[in-house]
Formats: sequence, C-alpha cells, structure tokens
Amino acid sequence: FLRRKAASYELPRCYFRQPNEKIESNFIHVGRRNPFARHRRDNHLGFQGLLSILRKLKSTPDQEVRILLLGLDNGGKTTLLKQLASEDISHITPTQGFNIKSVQSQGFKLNVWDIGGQRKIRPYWRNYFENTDVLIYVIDSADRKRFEETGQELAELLDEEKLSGVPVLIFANKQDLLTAAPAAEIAEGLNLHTIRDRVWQIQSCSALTGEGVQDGMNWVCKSVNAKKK
Amino acid sequence: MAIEKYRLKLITEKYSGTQCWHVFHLRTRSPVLGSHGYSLLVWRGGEMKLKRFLLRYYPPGIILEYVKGGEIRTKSIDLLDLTPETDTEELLAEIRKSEPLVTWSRAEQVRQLLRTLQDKLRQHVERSFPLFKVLQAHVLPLTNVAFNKSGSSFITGSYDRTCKIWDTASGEELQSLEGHRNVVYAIAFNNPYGDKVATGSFDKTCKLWSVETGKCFHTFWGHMAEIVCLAFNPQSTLVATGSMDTLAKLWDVQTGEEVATLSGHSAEIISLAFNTAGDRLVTGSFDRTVSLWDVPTGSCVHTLIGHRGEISSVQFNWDCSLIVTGSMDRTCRVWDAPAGKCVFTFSDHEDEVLDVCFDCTGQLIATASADGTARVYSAATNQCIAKLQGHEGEISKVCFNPQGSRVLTASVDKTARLWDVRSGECVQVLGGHTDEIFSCAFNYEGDAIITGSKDNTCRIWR
Repeated sequence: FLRRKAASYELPRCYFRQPNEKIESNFIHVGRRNPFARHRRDNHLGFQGLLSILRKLKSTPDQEVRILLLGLDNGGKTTLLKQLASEDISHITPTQGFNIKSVQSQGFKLNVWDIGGQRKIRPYWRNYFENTDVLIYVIDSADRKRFEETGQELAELLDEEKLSGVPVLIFANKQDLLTAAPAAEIAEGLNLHTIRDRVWQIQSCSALTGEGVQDGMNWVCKSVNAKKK
Repeated sequence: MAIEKYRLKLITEKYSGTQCWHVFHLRTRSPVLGSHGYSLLVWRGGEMKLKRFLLRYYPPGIILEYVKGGEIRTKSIDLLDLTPETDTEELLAEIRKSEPLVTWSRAEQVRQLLRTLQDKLRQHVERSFPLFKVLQAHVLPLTNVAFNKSGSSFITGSYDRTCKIWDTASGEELQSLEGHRNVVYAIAFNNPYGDKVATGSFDKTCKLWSVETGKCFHTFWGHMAEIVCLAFNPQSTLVATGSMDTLAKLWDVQTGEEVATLSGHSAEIISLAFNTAGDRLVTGSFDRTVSLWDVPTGSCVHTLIGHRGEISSVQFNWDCSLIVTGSMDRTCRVWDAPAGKCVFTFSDHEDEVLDVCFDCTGQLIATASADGTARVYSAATNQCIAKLQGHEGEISKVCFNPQGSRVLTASVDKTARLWDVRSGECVQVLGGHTDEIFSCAFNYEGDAIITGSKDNTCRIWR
C-alpha cells in the first residue's frame, strides 16, 4: 500500500532541475538564536478560546498570516511553536489536538497552528487547510527510519488542492543531535527540487536550542511579503 | 343579559391573543362588573371552559388548557418574577384579577401549583456537582456540548468531524453521527422534543439527524463557508444556520429545503438566536452589527448599530422584549427588541466580552470576558449584582442554572466554576480537564453539568 502511494506521488510533479540551476539558494545554514524570544505573545493570557479560533479562521487581513505547522509525531512541532512564543519547552507531551500561538514579526502577526502528527489524527490535517498562507513542515532529521513516511505525507500535502501554491518551509529539525541528517541530504531524499508549483525552502534548525528558527521565519515573512503584495 | 342595554368593545386578550368583548353600560359608559367584581368579558366564539392546568418549571409558568368553540387551546400565565419568597396569596389575587379562567373554585388548585413552582426554584440550590464520569469522547478537541430537555442524553461536537450522542446516566455512547467532512462546530437538539439533532460544520453544510437511529435525514447545502452557529425554532419546524459567508439561512426541517436566505451582514455571522415566540431571529456579526429578522418573511426588521467591535454573542430574553449582545469592544448592550434601540450599555469589563446570556426568566444577564471575570446584572435595573472573580484566564462560556441561582463559567484556565449569583462567591471549582474548556451546560433540571474540552474529553458532573 505504501509503495503504491509512493509511486503515485512522483508522477504529477516530476520535473527535473535545469543543469545551470543553483539549488544552493534554497538552503540556509544554522544561524543565530531566535529573535522571536523578544516578542511577547499578543494574547496576554497565552490561550485562545473557541471564539478566537473563529477569528483566526476567517480570511486574514493583510498584516495577519496563517501558518500551518505539520509533520510526523515527535518531529518537534510543539517545541518549535513554544520556542517561537518564548515559552517553557521542558514539559511537552504529544499533541492530541492542536495548539495555536500568535507572534509578531516584521510587521506581521503570525498565527501559527500546530497540529498533532500521530498517525490516527493525520487524516484530520485537512480540517485546517483553509486560508493557509504558509505551510511549515517539520522533519525529525535524526529519525532516518521514517524519512520515507515523512516524504509521503509531505507529498500528499503538496497534492492538496486547498494548499496549492502555498509556500512551504521544511524545517530539518533536531540538528542538535549527532545522528541528524544534514538538510541537503534530506532535500535530496525528498526530491524537493522537483517542487515547481510553489516557492519552497529547507532550513536546518534545532527547536530545542532555537538555532535556525529565526532564519526559517525570516524566509516565511519574505515569501508572505512577496505573495501579499 | 339584554344586549341592547350594553355596548361591546372589541379587545385583544392579553395572554392568548384571542379576541373578546369588553362590556360597557350604554348610558353610564362604565364597565359592567361580573359576579366577583371583575370586568365582564364576553369571549368571541362562545364560552371558554377550563379543562386543566399544566406547569412549566423554568421559567415558572402555569399553562391553561381550555375549550373554546369545541377546540382545545392553551395559554400561559408567565410568572417570571416568582421567587421562593413571593407571597402566594398576593400573587393568586393578581392572577384571578387578570385571568377570568381562574375562578373561585379553581383558586385552591392554583395556590398548590404556585407552591410547587416555588419548591422547584428552591431545588438543587445548595447542590454541589462532584465529578461523575470522564468520557474519552473524541479523538480530537470538542467544540460544543448540549443537553436534550429531559437531560437524559447530551451531544458533543468535535474536530474529529463527528457529533456523538451520550446517555447522561451511564456515560454510554448512544450514536456517533458521522458524515461531515470537517469540524462539527455548532450543534443543537430540537428541544423540547429531543428527537432530532442538527449539526453545523466547517464543511459548509448542516445536517439533520435522527436521535433514535443516528441516520441523517437531510443535508443542507448552500452556505459558501464554515457554519458556526445554528438553532431550531421553538416549534422545531425550522433550523437557522449562521455562517462565515456573512449569511444566515432558514431551512425546513420536514422537507430539508432552504426557506430563506437572510443577507445583509457584511462580515461573518458568529451567533444567532430565535425568540420564544419563534417569529424573530437575531444574528450577531463580526461586522459589529446585530440584525433582527422577521422569520415568516425573511426580511430584516432592525439593524442594531452601536458596538464598536465584533459581536461575540446574542440572545433574546424570555418575553422577547430585550436582546443582549456581547462585543469585542469590551461592552455588553441591551436592546429594546420591538423598537430596535439600545437601552443600556454595560462597560465594566477590561477586555473583550466573549459570551453573554439571560437567565431563563430574563431577569438577569451574565457576561463573560477575556479579562478573566464574569459579571451578573439585573435586567430591570441595569445594576451590576455580582463580579465573579477567580479564573486565571479568559472565560469563553457562561450560563445560568434554570433556577437562576447559580452561574457556570468555562475558561481557558482548564477549569469550570460555579458561582452564587447573589454573593458572587465561587461555590465550586470543576477541575480536572487537562486543556482549555470550550463549552459547558446545565440540564433543564439543574442537577447535572457537562463540560467539553480541548483535551478531547467530556466530563459529567452530578
């Protein structure tokens, strides 16, 4: 079953890189600590009730950006979210549903939706696709056994009609682990260079230390700027 | 009586809306009095004969079932300001004065009924609500919860695209209503009947289900965006849906067809409510306005303008005279429904007002705010009766118990709290949820509570 899926995903977007094209431009190397730490969460109480969810659901005004954070379970999505919101990351449990945080950056209000990645709840990811401005896909770079699985999930997301043309940032997370695969290797393994229907970026990072997170978010703001103008 | 001596003036009877003749003396022009000193009325269409009394506990009322012209009819005497302390003799005299059907021979019966209603208001007042059951209800967060009228079962909506019907006594799952293709957000029983459930989803459709079989009767197609609020009319013949597409729609429960589209708002509709009579619908929108619609014609009667922020919640009071609205502008407003004018603005909250409600009689108003407090106001005097302080995060839902003696609040601080309306003291913290509580509800008796949370569970407290 998995193999059949894998085969089908390569067909529609099977472009090949031009010989003179530089794929290096799609790589950012691990950078400084995350500046989002300076920004307070816009919601002073740190939570959002049901009504706030509806407000964030509606098509966002120009200065608001809806970001969807997806990836397999244990990829570090919630840690990344909490790192963005400068919250304590020492007690994070598997996400059974979703978490939402808003952070200010470069004149934008980023509404980040972190959706649980366990297999049984992955079919519900599409609940959250509407009005997405940027997709961030988080990969555990040290979990080589699941590279194929994560690649398939990503490919299915990129095939989704509601996410068509949405810029995608891939975080090659957990670079603080010695066994982590470098971003270039992951990009190669996932055939990222075959993506032609949208702008994309792969960014190595560590949600735990915060390294690389800022650079990734800078790219997000840049691509949103380009899209919203 | 020899009719040529009297002049008859046609009047409309106060409670039932039926017409009758008020009898005046032709020469003196004074009203003719009947045997007990009350004005003499001659009912159109012949004699009215009282068959029996029916009781309505919340809001307190006595329903008169009578025969007129061979037809069985009912009318209700609403006793909205009845309290356990009310002098029953005084009230009885008042009722006899205004209601010719309550004759001297029926007085004792009515006295008993009044006492029963007062007992009901005293019931469950000091009650606490220990945790009865934790239901691993859904695989994703819950959205809303609701009881049927008898309280025997309740429903939960969820991000997992299902709505489930639960048995309150056992905590057993009775039905799982599956078919929506996105979040089930708004849910309702067709109370008082309780044989149907309506679900509104982010998949832009609304579905009508059989409670007994779990089968889907109808799918209402037509909205262009997420459905976020819905309600049955009190007669249970219509469903109203409100959507992020700025429209509200009315649907026929029997045929499943669209009856009317209520267009006029320029932004998302976020809350709606029918009045008790079912002839008016009020909608609140992110466009900062509230609209009042005539249900039979689908036309807009009034647009209530005044809030400076998005509307979060709207509701009618029991006698359909007032509308209460909450807004992100940190205020709550009370409007005169027939006139469409704002009669009062409460601006005590320091942050957005996220939910508002009347108690079942319409005497009290409760507001819940993002500032972490809730407040109780008197609808008659517009005085703040209590400030409910204690939550450590925004309060997203607020409701009264049917007796009007307690307020229940649900908060993002993972607790629900029960408050005494008079003292404003927290009488119980309903703790244990591991994530935000999105919704809470009392049953009609006022002896059970359910809370629905983002932690995917539902808790029964009784």
